[in-house]
Amino acid sequence: MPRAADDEALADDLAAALDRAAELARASGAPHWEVRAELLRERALVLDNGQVRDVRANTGLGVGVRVVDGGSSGYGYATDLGGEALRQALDQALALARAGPRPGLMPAGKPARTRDRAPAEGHPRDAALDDRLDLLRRAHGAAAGDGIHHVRCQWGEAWGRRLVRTSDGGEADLEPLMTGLMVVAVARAEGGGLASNLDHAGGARGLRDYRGDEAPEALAANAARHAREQARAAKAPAGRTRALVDPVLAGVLAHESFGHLAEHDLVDAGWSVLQGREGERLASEAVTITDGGVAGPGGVRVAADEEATPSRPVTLVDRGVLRGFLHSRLTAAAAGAEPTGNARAVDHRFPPVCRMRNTWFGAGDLSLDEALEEVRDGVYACGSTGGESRSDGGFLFALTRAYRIERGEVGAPLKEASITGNILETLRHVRGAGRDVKLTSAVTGGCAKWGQWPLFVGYGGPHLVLDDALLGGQEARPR
Amino acid sequence: MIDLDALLATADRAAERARSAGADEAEAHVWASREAEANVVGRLASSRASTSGGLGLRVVVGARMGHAGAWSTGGKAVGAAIADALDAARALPPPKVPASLADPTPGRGPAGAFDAAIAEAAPEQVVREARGVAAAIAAAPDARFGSVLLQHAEAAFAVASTRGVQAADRGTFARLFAECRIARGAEQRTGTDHRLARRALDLAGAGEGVLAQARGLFGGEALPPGPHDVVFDAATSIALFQPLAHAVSGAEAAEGRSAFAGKVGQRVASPLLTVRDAPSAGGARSAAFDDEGTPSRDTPLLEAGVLRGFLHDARSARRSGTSSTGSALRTQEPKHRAPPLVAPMDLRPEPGPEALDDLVAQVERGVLVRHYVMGLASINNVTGDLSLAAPAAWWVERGEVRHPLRPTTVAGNALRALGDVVAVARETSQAPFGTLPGVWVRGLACAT
Repeated sequence: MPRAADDEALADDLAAALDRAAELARASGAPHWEVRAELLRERALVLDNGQVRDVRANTGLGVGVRVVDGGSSGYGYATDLGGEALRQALDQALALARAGPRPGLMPAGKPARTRDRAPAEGHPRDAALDDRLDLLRRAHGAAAGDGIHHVRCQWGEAWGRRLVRTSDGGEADLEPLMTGLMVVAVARAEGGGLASNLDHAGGARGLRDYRGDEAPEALAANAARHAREQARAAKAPAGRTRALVDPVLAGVLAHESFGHLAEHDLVDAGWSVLQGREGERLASEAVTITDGGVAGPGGVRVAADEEATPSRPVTLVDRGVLRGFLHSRLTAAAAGAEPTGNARAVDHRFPPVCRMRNTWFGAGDLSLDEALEEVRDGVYACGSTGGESRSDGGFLFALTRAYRIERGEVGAPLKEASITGNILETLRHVRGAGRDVKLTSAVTGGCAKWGQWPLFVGYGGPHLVLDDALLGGQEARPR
Repeated sequence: MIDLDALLATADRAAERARSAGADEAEAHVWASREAEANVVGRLASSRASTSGGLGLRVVVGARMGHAGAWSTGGKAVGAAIADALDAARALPPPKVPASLADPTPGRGPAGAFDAAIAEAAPEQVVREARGVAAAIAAAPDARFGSVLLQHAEAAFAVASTRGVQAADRGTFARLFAECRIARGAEQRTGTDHRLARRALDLAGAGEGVLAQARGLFGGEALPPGPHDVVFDAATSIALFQPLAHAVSGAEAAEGRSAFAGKVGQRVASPLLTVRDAPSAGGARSAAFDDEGTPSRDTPLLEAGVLRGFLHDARSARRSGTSSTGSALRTQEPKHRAPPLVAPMDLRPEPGPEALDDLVAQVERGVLVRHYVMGLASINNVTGDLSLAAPAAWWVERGEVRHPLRPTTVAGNALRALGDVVAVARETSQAPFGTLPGVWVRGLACAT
């Protein structure tokens, strides 16, 4: 490793398969088609208490064909790049398109030609295994000791080549890149129990891009400090409270609970509670939410989508008013709008559907101290270890950690807390936003929709002040 | 049907090729699937079909085991996987317990379920069936939205190793996720139906079912304060049994990551709970062999709440001085992406004698959780701590379901809750890792 010659040989096979698939699709007479060929190299390393525990690698290779006939979409794919498998994939796509409902739409927009390679210092393609292990060893060294019982450091990467060609002349030649570094520290609690916590950074970046407050040492120090706090944390109270939401959890709310509602395939179907509400005030003045393909450090990089539409930023909510939606070419046709470059697929197994890229709350004007003073008494809710949202805006997110806020100051840590509610109600309770917008993303997980998981996405925002939130915790309290 | 002999031959060649490239031992797991999925969302549909496959390779070099995968069984992709797996093994330090692959075990376990109706169905038929359910939802005048995702798959795998393992099996799977939303004025409620099965699903009434569920959720009220008895139906008890599935892993116990480590013969759950892993029942992910080629078999785990044993793969069995229970499973999709873990094929808590409705009739004051809970992915499977949201919950008083509740949070510890089981219901539902009954437990923190 690296074995650049092997990758080049696979990429050559891929380009040839794309040509074959495009030729077959053209000959089929399908009204509209796209072909997509992908090579994806994934690698994951785990350093467990200073010992290399796990080294995994995967090579993904596949070609997909999508046919749109009468507005109905059929998709077939193959992992065998030979002509017979590609023909079968095309035949399946044609049959599925014809069996679906046929609303009589044709994809909108004029796809362009896009070529993009993420700028990265220390691209994993050019890195040795020891370069990655060095990052993990630096993190381990910074986290170990002083009450820390166990340290797990994890590196992940996914990169390769994605080629798209459409029947109306669109082309994309992309070199996607995603990496991530995570540190989990476990501290021993009083009474013998264990408590863990973590910090992570990710994005379209190379090995040497992990520096400053996202250097391995900085992430490790945060993880260790948070684990020690959790070791002495009290049970979180269940019930309604005022809350300060940190930038990571703000991003989770922007993406998971609001962003999906703005995906126009779900709007068109009536799934989203945002249907027919463009121009309506949904949130407080403090709320602006944007989705974009290229959004700076910490986020993912999507220069063009899987329909070969170049990415453009979309303002979803502007100072509380619903202004925009996320479109594929087909949903744009249904809405009389322009495609936004949001037709994404996890990999060659799936057709593109409306998905987010980087989604974030815009900055406000509060400093962190001012935001804490706004809450005065309540809970500081930080990060999320997972959760779900529903079509009616309902959501639940388990918090990475939480603290009491007492008289405008961060107080005692709380454990095993979650935040739940309805996003439209929650957005009305955003009383203010901080100046500190931060974007993040993770290579160890991603967004799920219709079985397509994990799609790499970016999410973020500033600190948000909520004047009412529902906290789930193990300490039931009478009200 | 997928040709098992061809899969086995591919696996054999890959394992031998890895040995020639420098592995002391090698095991190749080759999978193939034929899938069709219809996704009908309002007036748009996005359906897909495929015939695809991949290779997961484990190699042992100097007592260290490396793993790599490829989404293809073509020569170059297999070559890349072999090189990656060898790199991975060489990067690891010498382990305390030398790594080794499974030995061949004679015999064959009970076959996983195979339904020709799934294997032989044309992809277009799946689209038609999904459209039928979607049409039933769309026909309701109060329905604001309907979506139906229906998936059929025939899946097969083969395992071959340089130790002489030769195993292959096939099975079928079906999955439905139907959702609707009902509007009454400004208020809306959601109904969902999420079903997994090894045979073709009976979709009659599926659309009407989710409509009725959503209509029944209007008028949600706040919850009286305090910890409550909670009755989980068979679809939501997964929140309690998921940490149990983790705790019975012999590999996790050997690493000290199971709450049940060192507790064989001790009471770890309510006397009402008897649990076994039962591939013979043909549910969940049952197959004749596990993913390292060991024949599957039924394994008692809990008997009247007393821990009787753990599940093992070949490696954890060697560490514990016992034999594999045929529980090495590649639980991630696609299967080549990660090496096998120790996990149940079909975890089966023994159902109780009474129907869920009869249990609810005995609840003095409590919460009934049905259909769906949010937060499964964030359950701490090691400690059992959980924090859930239940969009479909009802207040029960003196044995009567009084009214729906506003979306309700339920928090506590699943492993402790399994010690506080009051009753187990008769009905079961298939989860990804088992076939689970509803349960009634005491004292979980709830809030609305």
